[in-house]
Amino acid sequence: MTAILIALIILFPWFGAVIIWLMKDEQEKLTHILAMSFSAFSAVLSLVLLTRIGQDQISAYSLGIGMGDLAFSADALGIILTCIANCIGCLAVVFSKDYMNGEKDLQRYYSMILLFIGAMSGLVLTSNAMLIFFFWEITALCSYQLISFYNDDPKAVRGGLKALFITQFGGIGLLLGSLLIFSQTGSLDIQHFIAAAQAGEISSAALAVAGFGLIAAAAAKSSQFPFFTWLPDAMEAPTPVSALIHAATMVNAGVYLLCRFAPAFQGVAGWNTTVLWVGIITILLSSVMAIFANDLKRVLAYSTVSQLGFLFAAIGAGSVTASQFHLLSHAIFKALLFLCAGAVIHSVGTRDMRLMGNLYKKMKPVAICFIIGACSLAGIPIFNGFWSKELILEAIHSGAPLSVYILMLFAVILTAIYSIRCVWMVFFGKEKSELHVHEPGRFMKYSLYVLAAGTVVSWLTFGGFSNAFSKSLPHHEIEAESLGKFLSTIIKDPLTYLAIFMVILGIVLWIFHKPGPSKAVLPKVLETCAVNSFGFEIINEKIIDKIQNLSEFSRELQSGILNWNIFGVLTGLVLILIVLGIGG
Amino acid sequence: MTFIYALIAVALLYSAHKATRVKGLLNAALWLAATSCLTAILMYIMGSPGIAVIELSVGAGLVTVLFVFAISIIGDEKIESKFFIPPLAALLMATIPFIILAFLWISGISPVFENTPADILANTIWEDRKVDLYLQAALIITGILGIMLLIAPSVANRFKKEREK
Amino acid sequence: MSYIIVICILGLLGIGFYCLLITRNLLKLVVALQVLVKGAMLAILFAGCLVDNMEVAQSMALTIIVADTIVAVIGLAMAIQVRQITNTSNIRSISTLRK
Repeated sequence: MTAILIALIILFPWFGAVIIWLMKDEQEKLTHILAMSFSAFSAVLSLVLLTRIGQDQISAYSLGIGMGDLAFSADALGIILTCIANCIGCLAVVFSKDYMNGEKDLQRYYSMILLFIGAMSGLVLTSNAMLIFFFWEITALCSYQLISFYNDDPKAVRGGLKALFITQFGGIGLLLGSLLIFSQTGSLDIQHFIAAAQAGEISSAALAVAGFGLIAAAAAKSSQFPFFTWLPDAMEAPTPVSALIHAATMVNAGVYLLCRFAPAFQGVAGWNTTVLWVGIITILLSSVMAIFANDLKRVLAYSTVSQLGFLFAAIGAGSVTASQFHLLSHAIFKALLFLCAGAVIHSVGTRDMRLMGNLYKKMKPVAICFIIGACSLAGIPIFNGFWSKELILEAIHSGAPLSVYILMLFAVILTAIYSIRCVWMVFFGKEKSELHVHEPGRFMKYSLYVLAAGTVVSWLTFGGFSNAFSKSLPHHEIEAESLGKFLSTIIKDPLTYLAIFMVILGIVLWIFHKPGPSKAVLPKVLETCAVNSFGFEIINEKIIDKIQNLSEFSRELQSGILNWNIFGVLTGLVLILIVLGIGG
Repeated sequence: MTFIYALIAVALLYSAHKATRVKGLLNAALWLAATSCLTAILMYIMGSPGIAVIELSVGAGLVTVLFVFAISIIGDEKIESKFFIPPLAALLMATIPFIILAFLWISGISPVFENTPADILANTIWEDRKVDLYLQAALIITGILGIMLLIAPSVANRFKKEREK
Repeated sequence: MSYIIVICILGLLGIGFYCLLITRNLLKLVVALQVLVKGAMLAILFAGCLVDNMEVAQSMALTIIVADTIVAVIGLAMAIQVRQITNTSNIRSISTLRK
């Protein structure tokens, strides 16, 4: 039963993708309806799967020696991400009904989204390291395709290629890790690998290489330091795609990978610390960049990067539950923020926040939803972001040095500053230009309301959440905690009030210096650095230049004559043989 | 016995040499068929009669038929342009790696050749190497498309001629 | 005995590669590939004997036979198409990378 459900969840959206691909341009309405019904059905399926959380592995089919099994596991880690991918995917598709109305190439758009949803479910449900790589690359492909969806816009194409290249770099790390797992344990099964690693059957050098390979993979996919430059450029994608892929799901794949493998690498010296510091550095850099960015979607992108940094830091501090719980909250409120931003951009026609202002009166429902999302992002009590962020802060306070905790508190201030700045510049303040605002469509509002409701109440699921984690993940050693106990711990903890104070401090700081947005809060030098992405953009450019020069140079070697190619092959063979001869 | 094996080996290498160097494509195809037959005999000696039969029917049969078919469509052609690689350099390049390989190999391992029971082979193919089977299915579909490509022009020409009439 | 087979393998590979290095005819190319692959196939079977894992070697040889035949089909089809379009089977004619 569970096996059939999992197969359906992966294959059904793919089937939908094929069907929609075959639609004709004239059947626009039918395309919308089909996409909505396919994604809605997958969402329902994923919710049904939620009832079947357990720790058994479902090995559906053996692929023979060296390939592993077509194995899936229905544990909480995978199923919760599947639900996020399918449900937010469904909402993004519903939102697209209005947002993409009248656009060309709808078939390509919806096909890629459905292909992505299926691949994302596969990525998180499979327990075969090679299949993870397979699905991982499909999500990268979809992400590239959708970022470059407006393929006559050079900026979009460039952003897409950048995302593809950087995530491919991560893919190499993942492949390296998977191959090492296979060479060390003789099987691609992840549970088997974790058990072997915990029992100390794997050589520590191989374990370390695999561990750091996976960190590289995760950092590239989740847009962490030093790979964080691709996510802001990925904002050329249509906004529902940004909400789905670049906020709620695909960027979480890196975090998922680390959570999945975390128990295996606890023995590797420096693994946890590296994850922790990658997270902290990312949080600080990207929060500062978010404070100075003026493009609405870029602000949200930087905030996504910094929230993913929180997830990394939580894993580094040893709390997978905190990381996953914040992942859930973040997926909901960030999708909400992005979709609101999409509604605003759709109505106003620009992404530049300096041209917006005083939109609150003109589009009240969207504004309220956006404010709910921003409050959750900033960590204001009652909203889901507050609870999960408290959980992370608590985990870091108990599992990491005090200096890290202080840096995290600083990050909380920065988060509050960029959240309030963003809300203020878009919805309040002076009207800066005569913008023609039109009301967002019906379907847009529906998805916003669902997500806003989720933002307010999703933290109530904590009890079931932690219970499912502790039951279905034996290797992670997670203790179940009831909702009441969780709430009382947080409310009684004095550090919670310190964090709330920090949030208020951030907001007050910003309001105090309001007219010159944030300039007085942070020094001018920082602004120059932040606008230039702290120099990482330049490093990227240089690397691309070098690769391009190298390609131009090696192009001379390609004569296009087969005989010379064979000559090259044989030269390589001779070299290998000489090396073998000397070595042996 | 060894003498016969040596004879087969010499014949195999000779026919391979002829297949690649002989003038006239039809001759080359026939020599290739001979090479395939001799390879199949070697395979039989090495203890894999099943593979030998397939090699014989596919390598010597099917491929030769395809060759003859292709040659009958486009005919032979003498190519007059110069060599791209000087023949001496080519000869060196084609021999050096294999001489090195031979030297690396000389360690006196001599395996025993014995027949594998057919059921073990079937098990291996159907259970352990399923991916290979899928790959083969995909390849065969590609092959069907290739054969369509092979006969497509002649069909097109025939239609053209009929229309002209 | 095993020396004879090794000589066959190396000889077939050498002859195949030599032909690939100097041929300029697309059809000859396919012949050369066939010879080369027969050498490779024998090598795989031989390796199977060496490590006493004949079944896997045989199933791989089977895959190679299929792949090799398909390569021949596609190669011949390509040769025919190229001949029809360019009126020659010279491999130079299909190289447009550098003119």
